[in-house]
Amino acid sequence: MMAKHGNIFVFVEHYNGHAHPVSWELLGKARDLVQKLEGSEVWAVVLGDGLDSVCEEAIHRGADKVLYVKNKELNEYINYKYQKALVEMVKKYQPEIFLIGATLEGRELAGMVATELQTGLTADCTGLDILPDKELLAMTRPTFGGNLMATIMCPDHRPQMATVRPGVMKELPPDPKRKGEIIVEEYHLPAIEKLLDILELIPVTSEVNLQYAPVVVAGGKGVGGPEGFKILRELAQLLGGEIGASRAAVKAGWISDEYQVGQTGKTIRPVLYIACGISGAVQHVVGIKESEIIVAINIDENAPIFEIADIGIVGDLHRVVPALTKKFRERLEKRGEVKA
Amino acid sequence: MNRIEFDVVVVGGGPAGLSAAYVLASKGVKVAVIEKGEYPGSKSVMGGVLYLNPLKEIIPNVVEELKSGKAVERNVIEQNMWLMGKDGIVKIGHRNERWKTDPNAFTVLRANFDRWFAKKVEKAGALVIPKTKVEDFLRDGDGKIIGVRTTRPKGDVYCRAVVIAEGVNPILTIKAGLRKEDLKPNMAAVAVKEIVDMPEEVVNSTFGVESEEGTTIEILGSWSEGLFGMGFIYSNKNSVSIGCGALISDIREKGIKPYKLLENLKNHPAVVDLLKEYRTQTKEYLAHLIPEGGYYAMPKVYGDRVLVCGDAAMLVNSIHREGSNHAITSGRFAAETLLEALDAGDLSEKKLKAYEEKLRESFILKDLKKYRDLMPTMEKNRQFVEIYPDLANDAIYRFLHVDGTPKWDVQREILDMVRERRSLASLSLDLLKFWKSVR
Amino acid sequence: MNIVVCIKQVPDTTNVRIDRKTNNLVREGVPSVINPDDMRALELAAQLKEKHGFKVFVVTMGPPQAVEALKDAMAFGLDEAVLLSDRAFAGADTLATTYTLSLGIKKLEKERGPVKLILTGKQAVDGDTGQVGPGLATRFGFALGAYVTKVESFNPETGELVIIRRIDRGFEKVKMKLPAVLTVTSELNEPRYADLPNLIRAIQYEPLIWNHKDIEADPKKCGFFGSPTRVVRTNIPPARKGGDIVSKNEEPEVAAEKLLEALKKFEAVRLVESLRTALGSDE
Ligand SMILES: Cc1cc2nc3c(=O)[nH]c(=O)nc-3n(C[C@H](O)[C@H](O)[C@H](O)COP(=O)(O)OP(=O)(O)OC[C@H]3O[C@@H](n4cnc5c(N)ncnc54)[C@H](O)[C@@H]3O)c2cc1C
Ligand SMILES: Cc1cc2nc3c(=O)[nH]c(=O)nc-3n(C[C@H](O)[C@H](O)[C@H](O)COP(=O)(O)OP(=O)(O)OC[C@H]3O[C@@H](n4cnc5c(N)ncnc54)[C@H](O)[C@@H]3O)c2cc1C
Ligand SMILES: Nc1ncnc2c1ncn2[C@@H]1O[C@H](COP(=O)(O)O)[C@@H](O)[C@H]1O
Repeated sequence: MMAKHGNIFVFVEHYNGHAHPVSWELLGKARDLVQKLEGSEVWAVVLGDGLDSVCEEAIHRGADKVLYVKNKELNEYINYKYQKALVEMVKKYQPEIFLIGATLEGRELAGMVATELQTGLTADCTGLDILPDKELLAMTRPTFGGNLMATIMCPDHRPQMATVRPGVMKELPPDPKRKGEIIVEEYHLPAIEKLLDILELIPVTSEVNLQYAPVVVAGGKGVGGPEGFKILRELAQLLGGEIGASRAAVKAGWISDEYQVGQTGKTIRPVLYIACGISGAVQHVVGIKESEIIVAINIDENAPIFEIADIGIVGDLHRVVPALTKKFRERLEKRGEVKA
Repeated sequence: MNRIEFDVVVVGGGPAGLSAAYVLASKGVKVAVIEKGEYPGSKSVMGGVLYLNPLKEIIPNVVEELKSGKAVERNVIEQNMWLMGKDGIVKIGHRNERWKTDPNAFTVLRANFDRWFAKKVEKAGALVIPKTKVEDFLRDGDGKIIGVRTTRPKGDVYCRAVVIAEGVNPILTIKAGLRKEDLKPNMAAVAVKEIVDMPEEVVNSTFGVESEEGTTIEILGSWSEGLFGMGFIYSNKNSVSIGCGALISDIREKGIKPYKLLENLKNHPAVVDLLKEYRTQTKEYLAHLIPEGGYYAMPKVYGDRVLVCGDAAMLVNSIHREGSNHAITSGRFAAETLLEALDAGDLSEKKLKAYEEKLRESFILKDLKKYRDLMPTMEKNRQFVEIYPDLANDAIYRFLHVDGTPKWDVQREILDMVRERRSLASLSLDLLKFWKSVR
Repeated sequence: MNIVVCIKQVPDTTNVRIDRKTNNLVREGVPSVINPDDMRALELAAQLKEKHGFKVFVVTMGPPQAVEALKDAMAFGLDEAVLLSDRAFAGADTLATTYTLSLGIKKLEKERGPVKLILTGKQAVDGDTGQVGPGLATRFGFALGAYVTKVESFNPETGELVIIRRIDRGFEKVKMKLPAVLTVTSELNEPRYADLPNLIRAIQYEPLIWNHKDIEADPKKCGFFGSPTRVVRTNIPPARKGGDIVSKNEEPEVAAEKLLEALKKFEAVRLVESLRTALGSDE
């Protein structure tokens, strides 16, 4: 039986036996898209060995099928080996669409795969949709540092490829009851010259995990000094989040630049962003404007941050933030007691 | 290692330096222009009205070339002077058909003009070295200038003579020993200027001109809060330059910020009406100094193997907003002097004195001399800016406002108004002073 | 051995404005510069040249005015610069760009000897794709080291190279062998302030200019017609609208209470466990 279209491939990026969250986000999005592509399925592509639980979870997260490309050598990401394996799978299964997370590894890999397949690739997308009449993938992405959004299509080449920015698409909550098929490909790497060796992984020294934190409590010039970030951290930790900072705070040397949010820092999309003592300069706002909820605490009621904040509080952060932490703590403790 | 050698090094790629380099290079002299900005004109500010005369002397067909090279904005066919009172303006202006066929001045944006001029200079055979700052002279054992030192690694450049065209900040002029002291606050004005976007058709209708034509407005009066300063509005191709300047000494004394003055000017009802909603479409904001010291502030303009031209030599006649034309002409004089000196193989101070004589014989020093007492006069006599503009406005308003008062009474009212603000004796004294200083 | 550095001339993004009427970038009057990451690639090439005596060629595909970028690049003291310029190259996406660049580099190889190292920037500030480096590596079959932040060691005899590169979880130390493509990040080095003799040479240098015939390119694979992707629309991201100020200069406790109340109204708080718990309805 021939489907009208090929399927949607979603590359599952993983390390230490865990998938990168962006892979689940892409599966979530792919489920969306597949409804507008009659007869197509969502396939998760998993490379490596001993990844049964990742394959299972891929199904729970929305995959119809999992293409499990089995080979020990693929447990560790090595660009040219992954390239070979993926190119071969695409050639064999002819997907309509191929989505890869726009992590650094994903972007490099997609660039290699698309070139070998001689197809188009749209980088770092923040929006994906299927055009109803043409059944083509419309890929939307920021260019010029987010100043302009471009919508791009790849009409005549297959697969239509995109890397997608982490944290933008919504993952589906895992549904253990979902059923799907795991297709195991016993894969042998062709006899290719060894191009590189990974000698060592050097983790980032601090625990900065801004890009994936569901809650970010960020401080700016109004925090007044390095100590001020303590009260922000308390709140962030209580809520299971991270702290962030404006460039002014970073420049003042109050906090390291890994925490900077904005045009020259990180672009983040937490569920809740609390801006404390941040005026809301455009260069800062571009990095947070896609947050689900933005709260601003600022003494100046005319601060531009209030123009984009969903909830505003005019007041001194040094007094409001501790009060907020206290309230949250009371509530959390109370619920905890109720539960116990 | 090979030394970098030229016959002449020109410091500064403004109109003065480019003009000197152009004339020298056209005659086959090996010359380098060293400019600290990203490119010539990148940081330069001018109102600006560029008089063509000095360029015509050195570049054939210059009007055509300027136009096709997009170096200029509009041909000035009308010039206006506004005396601005708090709520009125006295306008004096002149428009002339002859300027349409025989252009005398163009409005310019310096980034475009200087870049065009620099290209001409390169074509003539000179080397224009941007992004490089000259920090000092190279001297031989006897202290004679034998080149310049730039901020670049391996940045020494040897030469037989240096033309200092560094603009208003006379750092190298001082290092050359041609000027004893830095600019004093009463020798320079701070000028601020904005370029506001305005579509070409709107510029045309606003200023009542055709597409290639432009007008200028100089403005004296209430905006300056009693400081002695000149404001201006010039029409460009699809933008308008608006700016003003006032003496540093005045600004310091009164504690006024220059941009506040520009706000005053922009917020005057007449300017609001003129620029309409485009008033806030600021594309660029620029600030720069203008030499105002005139004749008395000039350095010695020649020395052993060195000449000073343009703003560095303080050759600005601010009343007639002539600076770039003096710069270009003085650059030409410097080049011509050097050509003779290079020919004669004599670059000594004695030989180069000829440059000063050329300046003296020309309109430049004649004009500067003529106006030499104007600034000091104005400085000491604040009534020229504090009282007269408003007085003129109120007087003319009274004269033109018809409300049934017999004309005899109107005249008497005006006379009283004048007397109230300035005694007749001091009024005539003022006239005399003004006359003397421009005579 | 030869090194090729691919550079791109880009508008200085700190000066980019957007025309609210046409949704287009206003490029008029915006100065063009060498893409910032590419400056690091040039610096690395200049260092390798100084140390090991390699020949370095700079290549760009772009409009005629891109010669200015090449001249600027020559101030790093490099050997030659090539502009790949042709109507047929215009409108290229990354696939068509790497096609053209690879043919330009092949012509250089033919005429000047083998190219063993190709350097590019991590990504260009206008397109932000970061795909050209990986694409070139694939076309040449070279090893790819992307997002290089440091070159730890390089042995010119064996061609062995140890680099540190950025990955999402931190950094990776990677051993590779030439031939290779490296894409470099701004952490790699500080571009030099060129010395005056090199600057003068650069000003006087005239880059080579090659069109599609010179590099034997198939016009159907170049530029717009050789690009699988099509930009179908551009627009300005919609501005976010603010909500209410729920508390103004009140006691902190009151403000905190009001904030919690206001938060409850947002569906999204359920996505976060702590918020779900803290804000859950009081039954
Ligand atoms: C090319 C470029 C790139 C840039 N990239 C970035 C970027 O990536 N990220 C970024 O953040 N910025 C960036 N900036 C800088 C940006 O323009 C702003 O300067 C910066 O964001 C301001 O930081 P701020 O809001 O902390 O400081 P400010 O603007 O000084 O604001 C401080 C705020 O704190 C408030 N405040 C003071 N005391 C208190 C108090 N006790 N309680 C509550 N509120 C208080 C004040 O009312 C004020 O609103 C960039 C700029 C440029 C030119
Ligand atoms: C607001 C304003 C309005 C004006 N309006 C008019 C007008 O309408 N008409 C008119 O004719 N004139 C006008 N002028 C005056 C005119 O701009 C100057 O007289 C003219 O620019 C002088 O030319 P210059 O070559 O001497 O100096 P500049 O144009 O100042 O050029 C000097 C150059 O030297 C470079 N430089 C300086 N030091 C060094 C160094 N150490 N190493 C390397 N490079 C160096 C500078 O970067 C600069 O490019 C105006 C000036 C201002 C500020
Ligand atoms: N037209 C081009 N000519 C030469 N090099 C380019 C061109 N476009 C991109 N590059 C190189 O590829 C890098 C990444 O660009 P991009 O993939 O467009 O983000 C740039 O930093 C350049 O080094």
